[in-house]
Amino acid sequence: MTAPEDLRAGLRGAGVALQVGPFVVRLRSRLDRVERALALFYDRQLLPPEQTAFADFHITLARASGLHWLWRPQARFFLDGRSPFRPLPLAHAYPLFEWGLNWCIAQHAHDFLMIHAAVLERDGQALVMPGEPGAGKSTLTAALTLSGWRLLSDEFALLALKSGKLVALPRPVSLKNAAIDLIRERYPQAVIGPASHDTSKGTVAHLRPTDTSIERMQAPARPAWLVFPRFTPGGRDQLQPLAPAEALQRLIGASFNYSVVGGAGFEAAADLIEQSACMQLEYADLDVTLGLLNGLREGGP
Amino acid sequence: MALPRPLRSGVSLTASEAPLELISLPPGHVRVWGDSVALYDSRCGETHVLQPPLTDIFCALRQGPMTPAAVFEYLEQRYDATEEELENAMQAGLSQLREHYLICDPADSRDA
Repeated sequence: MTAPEDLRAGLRGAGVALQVGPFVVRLRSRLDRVERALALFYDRQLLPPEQTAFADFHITLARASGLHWLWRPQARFFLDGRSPFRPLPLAHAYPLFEWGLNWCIAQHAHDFLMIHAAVLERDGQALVMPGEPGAGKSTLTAALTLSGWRLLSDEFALLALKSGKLVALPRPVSLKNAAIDLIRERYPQAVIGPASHDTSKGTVAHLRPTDTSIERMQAPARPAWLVFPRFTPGGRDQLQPLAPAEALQRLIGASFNYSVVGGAGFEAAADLIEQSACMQLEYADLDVTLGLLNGLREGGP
Repeated sequence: MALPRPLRSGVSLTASEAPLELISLPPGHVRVWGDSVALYDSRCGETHVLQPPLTDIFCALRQGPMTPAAVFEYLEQRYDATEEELENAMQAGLSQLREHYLICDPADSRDA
């Protein structure tokens, strides 16, 4: 455990190193809200200074310069000293870190087929849930991880091209809008950080990953279920089989780097489909849907 | 000498008897899933999903170079359809495979 004063000194000095799945991230920032978020969400992933000679990504979060910082303070994201994005309001500095880290990984980690998908594991078997924003992935992910599944990823699946296994990238689950109170009320043990309002995704608050998810982050999982969720308010909760070819097309559509990794990406995606039960999920009621997904482990539906 | 197989009134395969051949694809880049075939063409980076009857034409040609007449016979064994329907389906399928450069005509290869 890193003492608060050490965290602050590290962030304001040479940076602190975080083990985020297979990546080491070195982060520097003088922003208090980033420091607080790091203490809340990443305290278990801070690496001791003697282990931090190498980092995959060197990130800085800083106040944007310019006169307008006086009446509209902003935060800017830097990778290797260059800022690839427009600044965001200072209040969104921590979400900016998470979104920026997504960008860093998506631009560089081509040892993996990267998929916009949640990944959870139980008994060594992985449930992969690709989906568009609004499909309900994060709500399902939060509910599953708070009820015994291990979190590998909220929205960024890493499928290793060589091994065909899913590699964990455990980071805080990004809850949006109504899902924040829903999860808070259902799971009193959930540790949810402060909300950031008026982001491009509405109100966003992050859920701290469970201890098991962090302790076992170096353990990959083999794919067992590929489920495409769709939130259908007022609809009927159901899991239906999906043809492999249709599943492949949807999986490719959800990938960040399929066109970059070429044939190896096709083989990894096709292998995942052949090893998984492919389904589409329509869900309206969280309890019913959790029952359906937990039933997968018993061989259902 | 065998006569070209008549397909329908006024149509024969005489002009297209040259065998057709699939492009070479690594085994891992072709997946047969029930009625569907998914394949990856590394020359252009495209992924194709084939559905019947295109799947059958592809699977027929996967056995080796085949004349259109032989492909027709292959389809005839699998579909309960009129000759005209089969021929139209076969020609449409071959056109699609040609459009995506998934088949090559050995005669063309020799000319090149």
